[in-house]
Amino acid sequence: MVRFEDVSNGSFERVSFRIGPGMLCKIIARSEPDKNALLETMLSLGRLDGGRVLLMGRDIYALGTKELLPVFGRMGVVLKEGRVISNLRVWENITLPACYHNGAGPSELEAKVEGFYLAMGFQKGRIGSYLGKSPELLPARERRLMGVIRAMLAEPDLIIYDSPFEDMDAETAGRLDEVITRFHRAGKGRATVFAGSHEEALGPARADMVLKQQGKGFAS
Amino acid sequence: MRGLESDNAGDGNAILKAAGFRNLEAGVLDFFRQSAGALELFFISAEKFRDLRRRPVKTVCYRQIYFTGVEALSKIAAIALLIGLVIITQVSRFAGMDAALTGKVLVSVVKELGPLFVAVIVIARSCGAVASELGSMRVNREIDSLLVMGIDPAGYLILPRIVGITLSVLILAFYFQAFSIIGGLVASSLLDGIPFYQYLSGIYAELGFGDVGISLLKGLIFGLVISTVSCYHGFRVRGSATEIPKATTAAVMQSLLLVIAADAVVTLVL
Repeated sequence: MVRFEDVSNGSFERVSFRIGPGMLCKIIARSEPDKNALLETMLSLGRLDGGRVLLMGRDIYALGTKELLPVFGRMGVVLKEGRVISNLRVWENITLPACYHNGAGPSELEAKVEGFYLAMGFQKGRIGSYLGKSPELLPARERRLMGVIRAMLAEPDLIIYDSPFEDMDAETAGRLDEVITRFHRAGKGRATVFAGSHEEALGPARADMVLKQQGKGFAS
Repeated sequence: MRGLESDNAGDGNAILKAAGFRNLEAGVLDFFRQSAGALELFFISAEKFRDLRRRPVKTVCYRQIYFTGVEALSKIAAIALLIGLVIITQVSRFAGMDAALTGKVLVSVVKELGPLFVAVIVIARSCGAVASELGSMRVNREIDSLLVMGIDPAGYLILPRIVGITLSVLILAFYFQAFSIIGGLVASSLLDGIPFYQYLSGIYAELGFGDVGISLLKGLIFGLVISTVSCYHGFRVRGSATEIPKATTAAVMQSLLLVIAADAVVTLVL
């Protein structure tokens, strides 16, 4: 699913690892900038000084935008700051990839979205008005939750979480961990990657592989 | 000393002239480079035409039509009514109460100016809005987010805006013409006492399908120019938020120049 082959970037050198189908992996970087550099390299948004990055078996730095989009269409990415599309409401943000890629209609997605927010401890009566809000009014951790359900609705083969439990109280973190673990198990061969700059940001889920940054490299 | 001063002044003038010429040269080159870039963006987006079948893309398109077309309707109607009224009043002042002549003048003015007026109003309302919206999406890295979601920004952001603005300009041009004729009708009946049927028969005699076709063609071209140029300038914003107002100004000015140039070309050719 994710393969780094001798990848070098300003922050790390000759990094190699492989995250296969069905695996749950945690990657702990030394600092926020190093973690960001790793994620940007993994998503072909950052610089690559050497080596190859393969997602779903495709060398993403060798692909043009046209070929890259179907690869990203099979993935879900949840960024720490919960990056949103500012001119869309919460509901439209959440359903965008699922509607775009799978042609899913609102009725199909409504129950799943409501189920997610109920599992996260939201009151049933509050969810409707919450979904009509502008996402820019929400705190970062709530935007991150939006990112989680947005990624899940598209039923991806690979899901990457950037510090999903950062700044979260223990109860919400526990609920989110349960939802993420259940989602990981539900997808056949679905790979899950957690990336963060410290262990607390990655939650309690038991990982099949933990990669820790040591100097300019990563070791399991 | 005096000679040296005048020599220096001469050098200064030469330097200023050279600098002015270089600025002009750079400005013209930039204009053509940006126009070529906008054309390229148009073709890239046109390739994604099938994306219009996707629900989220359709939603963006409907919103653009609502913002550019529906919300501008009342303003366009008011301006068109007043323009019709002004034209008839002016014509009747120098030509007297000749229904055939007033109809002829009104039709030709409306045919020529209708799409152009609409284009200017749309540039004022929508061009800057689109450029700044896309520019801020670029600065906030929302376009990167779309890519990471596997969503093509050209198909999701640019194409529906081009389609929405172009359709809006086409429909607004038609509305403008209809309302300016109504304005003229009201003015000629109330101020000059020309009977409705006489005025309408004057217009009917002058207005052919060819005239309507030409003004719709202009509307189509202007719509494509305005939408593509505003998307292009919004999309090429890089770096900080201070780039957004620059992009907005550039989008407005370039749209205005290209629309007037296109109007001149269509008028000369057809």
